[in-house]
Amino acid sequence: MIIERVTLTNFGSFRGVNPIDLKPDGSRNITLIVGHGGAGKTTIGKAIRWALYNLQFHGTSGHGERDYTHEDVLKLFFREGGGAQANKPPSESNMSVKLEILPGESIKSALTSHGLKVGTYVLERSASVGKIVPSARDVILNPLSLKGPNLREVPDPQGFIEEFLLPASTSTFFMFHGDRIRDLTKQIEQPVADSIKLILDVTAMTNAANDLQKVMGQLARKAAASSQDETLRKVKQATWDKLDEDEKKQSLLRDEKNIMLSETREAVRSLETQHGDLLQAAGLFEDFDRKEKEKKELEEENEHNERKIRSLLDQFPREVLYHSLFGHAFEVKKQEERNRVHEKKMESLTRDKQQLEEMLRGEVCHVCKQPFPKSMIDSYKREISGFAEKIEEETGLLHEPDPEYEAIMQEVVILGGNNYNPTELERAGFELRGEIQDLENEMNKIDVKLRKYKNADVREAAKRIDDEMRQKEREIGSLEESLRLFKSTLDQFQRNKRELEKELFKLGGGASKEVKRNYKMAESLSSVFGEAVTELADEKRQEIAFETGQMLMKTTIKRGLFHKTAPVDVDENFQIRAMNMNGDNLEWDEESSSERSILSVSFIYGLLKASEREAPVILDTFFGNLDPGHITNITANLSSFGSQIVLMTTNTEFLDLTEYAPQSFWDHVNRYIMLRNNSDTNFVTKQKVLHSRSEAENEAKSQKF
Amino acid sequence: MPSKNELLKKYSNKHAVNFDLVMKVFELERGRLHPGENEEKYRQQEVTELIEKWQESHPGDANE
Repeated sequence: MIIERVTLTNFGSFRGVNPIDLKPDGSRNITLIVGHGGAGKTTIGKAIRWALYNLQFHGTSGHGERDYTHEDVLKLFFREGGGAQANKPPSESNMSVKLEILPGESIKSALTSHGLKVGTYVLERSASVGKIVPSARDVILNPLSLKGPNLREVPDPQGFIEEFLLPASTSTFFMFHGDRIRDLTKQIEQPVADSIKLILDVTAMTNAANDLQKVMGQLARKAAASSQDETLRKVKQATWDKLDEDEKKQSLLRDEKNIMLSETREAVRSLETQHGDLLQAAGLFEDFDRKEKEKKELEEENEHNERKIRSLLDQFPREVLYHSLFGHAFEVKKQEERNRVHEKKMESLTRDKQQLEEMLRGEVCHVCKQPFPKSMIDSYKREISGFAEKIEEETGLLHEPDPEYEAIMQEVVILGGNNYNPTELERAGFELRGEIQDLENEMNKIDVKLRKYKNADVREAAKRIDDEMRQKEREIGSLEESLRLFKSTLDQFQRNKRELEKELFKLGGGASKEVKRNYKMAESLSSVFGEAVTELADEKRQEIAFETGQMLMKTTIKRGLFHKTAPVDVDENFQIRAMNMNGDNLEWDEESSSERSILSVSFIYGLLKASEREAPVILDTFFGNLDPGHITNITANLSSFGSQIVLMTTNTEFLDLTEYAPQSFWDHVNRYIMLRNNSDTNFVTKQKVLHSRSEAENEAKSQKF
Repeated sequence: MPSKNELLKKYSNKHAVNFDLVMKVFELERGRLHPGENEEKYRQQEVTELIEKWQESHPGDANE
């Protein structure tokens, strides 16, 4: 099937009516949906799943899926993704998701044989709430509506989806959240294996073979009703009934064991996560201790530095520490210049004073030899005394060199030769305190992470969990063994029942011709399906292994890890395994998470190639954890996965694609749907559809955050 | 690799069963994949009816 358009109305952060065009255009079969975290990418995936299946997605084990409750549906009305409007009650009372779907080519004949039209079908799931501040009980779920190309309502929409589109259980393979995709390379659980059998038509053929066996049984008993030997018939009938009853009981027990097995495996996965967390916590504790030690050393260094500064401050006046030698020299020079001015004044004053003293010597005029009058002598004496006062005044203004200051200057010069630099010391102190602050911040962050582990010996706890995991793994081994026993017991019951049915049929020699013919026909049909399905399952396993291996070898950046000719094996339960160069199971190391994603996506490719079903491939934030080489290789091959590929990427992922994806990838992109949901849009998702890579690149760069 | 239809054809020939009937049974089974006891009973009833109708309209077929 192809999803041509999805229209979200008041769904999550999509307010009002939002048609989103996803229709592929021939070989241009890739649609890119780009937006920052919370922009609404995942909401589109969620809307598609809600509309098709009313199912929530929790993982790839097949166990995590559950129907939406009224409470969950109410949440769908809310805007998510931040801002003041987040998780506020809805202002609109109706919400809907409309899908315009084109059933796949392979299904056309089936549609026609059921009297259904070929063309686009419109599926709509909707809900409403009647109150301004609603609660879950106010949610009204409207019946699912499906209209055919002739606009007539299709009576059983969910049945139509299961039969002609994509069965709910198989959607796990085609609508992925990027960070969960790697789970496909872990142990495949029964529901997932069942889904694989379903899309490969193995389920339908197995059911056919089993149903025909049952029909044979019914016909055999019908035939036996005409038996002449009533006692024998009754004995055989009773034996068959007892076998049937035992088989049912055993089946129930087997189902219980299967659930236990899945639960135990799930528990092991959870323990693995806890174990990983604890080991990480242990690493963090060590990191914390290392940082604490480093902080102590820095604090000691800082203390030493401060002591040195303090001791220098004790030795010298602060002014010395804060003035450079040049500053001192400048001050001294200025002072000397001022002294020279004073000295010149003093010289001039002294000269004037001496001239007057010379003139006054003997108190007689040197020219006329007459004595000066007394009034003149007194006037000269006053003038000479005035000069003396001024000279004294100027002398007082002269800067006297400070012997202590001179001594400090000498010390500074000596220490300068010994790398004494107070400014340098203070800068070093500043940097040290900065480093200490940084360490404290890092330690605080670690402390927050480790808060839940306070007072716990994480290494000890990790060991306990490791022991618990080993115990659970032993339980898994024993459950698997008991399931093998159940299988052989049930097979034996089946064989015994078939034998009894044959005997019952033989007893009914007088049965009608029709019953006998129908029995034979059912027997032949059962053989057809039984033999065909065994071969089909084998063929499909080989085909998946082959196609997955081909894609893996095209996209891996570590070809040397894998077996050259058979890099992938698929077992009877459709568990996928990568094979190493020696042909043994490949043990993944922690650095290979990107390779595991590549194997998982190659597996999806293999499944799609082996299945006759057509499905859109929707990958949500898949590229974030991939190496650049993987991005290049997978994007070069993505278009060949199916007729419709929808990629949801963050802006950063998209910009990575622009850097690493080859031109052949961009040639297959039909449109770029840019989503934005932030304060600029009042926290409502807005879409902008672009048709050129450069425009999309500019848009992504402009809103990269 | 042979397709599902090719395999069904191969075994229809082997067991001398009409391929159209085989495909009808297959379509019926493919359309009803919900698990559950009632579903199984319903399918078996439909298969039985299909065989009966087929025999009525093809009285000369093999497998007697």
